[in-house]
Amino acid sequence: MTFALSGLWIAAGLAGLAAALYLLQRLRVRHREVPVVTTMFWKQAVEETRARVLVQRFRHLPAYLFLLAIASLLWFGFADPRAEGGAGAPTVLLLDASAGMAEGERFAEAKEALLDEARGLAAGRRHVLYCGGHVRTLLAPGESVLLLARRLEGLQPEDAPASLARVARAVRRAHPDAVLRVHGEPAEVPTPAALGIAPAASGAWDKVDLLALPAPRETGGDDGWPALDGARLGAQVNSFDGGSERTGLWQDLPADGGTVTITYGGRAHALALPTRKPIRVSVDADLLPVLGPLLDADPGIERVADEADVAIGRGDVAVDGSVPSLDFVRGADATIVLRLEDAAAQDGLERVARELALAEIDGAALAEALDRPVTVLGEEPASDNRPMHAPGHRAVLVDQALLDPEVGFVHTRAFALLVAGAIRRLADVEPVVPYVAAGEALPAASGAYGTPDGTSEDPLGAPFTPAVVGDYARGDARLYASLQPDPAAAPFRGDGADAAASSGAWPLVRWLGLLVFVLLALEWWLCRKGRIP
Amino acid sequence: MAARRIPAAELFDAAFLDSLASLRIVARRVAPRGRHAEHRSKDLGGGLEFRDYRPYAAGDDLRSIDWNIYRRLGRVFLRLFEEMEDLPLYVLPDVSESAWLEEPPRARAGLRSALALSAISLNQHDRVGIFPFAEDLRVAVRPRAGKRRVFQMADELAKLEPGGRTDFQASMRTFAHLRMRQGVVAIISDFFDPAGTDAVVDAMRRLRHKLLLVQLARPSDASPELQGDVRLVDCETGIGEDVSITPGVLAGYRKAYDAFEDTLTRFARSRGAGLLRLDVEQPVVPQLAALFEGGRLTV
Repeated sequence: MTFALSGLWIAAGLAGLAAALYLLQRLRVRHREVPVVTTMFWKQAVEETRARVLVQRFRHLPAYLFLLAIASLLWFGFADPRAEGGAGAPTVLLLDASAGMAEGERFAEAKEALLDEARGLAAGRRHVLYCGGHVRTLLAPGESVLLLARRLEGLQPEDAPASLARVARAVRRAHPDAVLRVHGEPAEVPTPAALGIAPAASGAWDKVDLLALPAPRETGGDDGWPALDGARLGAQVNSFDGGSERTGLWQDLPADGGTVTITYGGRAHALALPTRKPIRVSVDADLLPVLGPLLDADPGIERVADEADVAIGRGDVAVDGSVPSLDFVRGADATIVLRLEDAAAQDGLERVARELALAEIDGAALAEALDRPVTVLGEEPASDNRPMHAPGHRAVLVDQALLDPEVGFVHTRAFALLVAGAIRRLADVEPVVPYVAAGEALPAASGAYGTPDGTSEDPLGAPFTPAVVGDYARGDARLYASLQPDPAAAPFRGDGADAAASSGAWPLVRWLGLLVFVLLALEWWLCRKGRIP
Repeated sequence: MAARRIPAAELFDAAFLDSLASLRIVARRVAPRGRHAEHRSKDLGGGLEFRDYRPYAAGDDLRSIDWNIYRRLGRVFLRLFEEMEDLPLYVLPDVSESAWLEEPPRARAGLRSALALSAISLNQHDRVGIFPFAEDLRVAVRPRAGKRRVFQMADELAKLEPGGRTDFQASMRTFAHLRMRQGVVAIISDFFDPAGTDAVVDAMRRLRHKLLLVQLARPSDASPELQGDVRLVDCETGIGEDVSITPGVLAGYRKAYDAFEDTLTRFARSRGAGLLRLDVEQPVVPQLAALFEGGRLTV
């Protein structure tokens, strides 16, 4: 059995109760006056009793013991006893360190309560976790509670969403019988229902659209109205009903890495706009007649001679392995070979085919024109049958026959989409991320990210999840993670139900209360019988 | 607080008197120089039952000379007969404060028993006197005879009021100084004297009369129903005693009360006195009748 109060407090309380009751016993009693016909028999009786005063410490020892027992039980009840969840079942104490705990004295009070409860638990069965943007152990099983006191000093909540539910699920998986206790009841952080960006509907490569739900109202103040790099945006160009809420829309904001800020309920939220620079492409001179007009018409592409992001060639010239290439080759294994990281897998191949708009190709007409089947092949970038390309070289190989004017493919919309999609895929342009919320995984991007505290985090293939609010960087791309409400996330309250469930249908406090009632009834009965005063 | 007087209507009624008609107090032999009545006396005189002879002396009644003896022996003897005289009853009701404290007051049962004993004696032509006592004894009704006096007795008893603390020593001394003819003294009291039980017994031991003790008691005397921390105030002295009622204290009380009753019993046995413990919460006459075996109380 464990208590919410520490053992020292319980012992001190019991000692205090015993002393207080002892002093009460020593107080001069105010006697009730009763007239009687004679007192001569009482005098004799009292004198006989006084003769034993040296061996009788209290005037009413049974009554004193009764009082002490009842008071002690009530004190134990106040100490909030809890049955432990069976042999070896740990009690995991979760300290909520989310952004909502920064309000007022919530976090200080939670720390104090956590420390008190930890003192009352057996050292080997308590485990204290800090649940902010990052989850870490504050006190491992077996460690002294003094360490916890030191570690709690100066600890502050993080600007991060609540992670209690996630941590609780993880603890449950690891220890199904663990007792979970939560300290902290965060304030609700005012956030916009939605704030995000989307590729510009106008199709401009270097522009994005900004959406806000609910649509801010022009009040003249800063609250709820977006600003780009500190400058208030103009009137929203469009707003429409998105169900019960109106949505605000600002179109064609420059995708140059600026920061959009918006204030809700006195709390500023930010969103980093993507950086959309033209993709530098070098083109083999022999291909210019066919591809030049196409490339020049694409606003996202800039033709250069050196330091290209993507090279377009015929596959017969050795290029630097670090520059991905779109090669129009002869004798390829298929009509189109996608030598990309994720093209080997079926789902990856489908995604790449979608990005390259391969579905737009009229396969039957093209096959008839080529006089052979049109095939698409996904491969790993590493290849040894093209010695002029370095291992790991990323490339999209297209059968040079497709450039033949007689085939007619170069005049189709599918060809333009194929070239534009291939260049963007090879340039590895970061997709427009609608928004980045702390605690939520990024939609598709992975890899190492620079975090707001200057460190680097790499989820090793898993989607990256920004832990706290702030700027994140991956290469030239900059993301700003804000707090976004998660309507599906219910607050996790750690519930005393865990403790109650582990101690059976009735908590120990109720058993103590029942015992107090029985003692009171027994005292009343003894009093009626004249056994105690 | 109980009533400070007991109305005469509460002391007796016709049924009460009827229930006493069959009871008699019988003396083995009464003291001499009494009035002619129904009890055998130590006096020798003109009764019907022969008792002894004695030589003639000048002035003797010649009608008592036994002429047959004179004829045979030539000496003059007188024939002596038993004299029938009365048995005075001196009723000493306790009217101290303790007799009026609780409900019903002990005085009610005490005065009813006093009147009952008086009525029994008056019925057999004995003289009855009422001597209430508390701090001291006084004469309420001088010894008189006559059946009709029972009403006077009731009136006098109804006039009695609480008289302060109990002092058996002073009261019995005063009664002794009255030098009443030897008779029956009926002491009707709770026998609670602040001076202690020994003082009570010593005071009664000085009386040269036959004794009849009527102890006014109630069940709570032996088993008090007190609890907790109390200040017991003696209703007669006003002195308080702080007592915390515990099983030990209660046991000590019972032990002291048992000793008190034992002392009274031993005294009554040593004096050949009658002792009746009268429960004041129960009807008086049935309890009193229990003292009269076969309707007679021999003293």
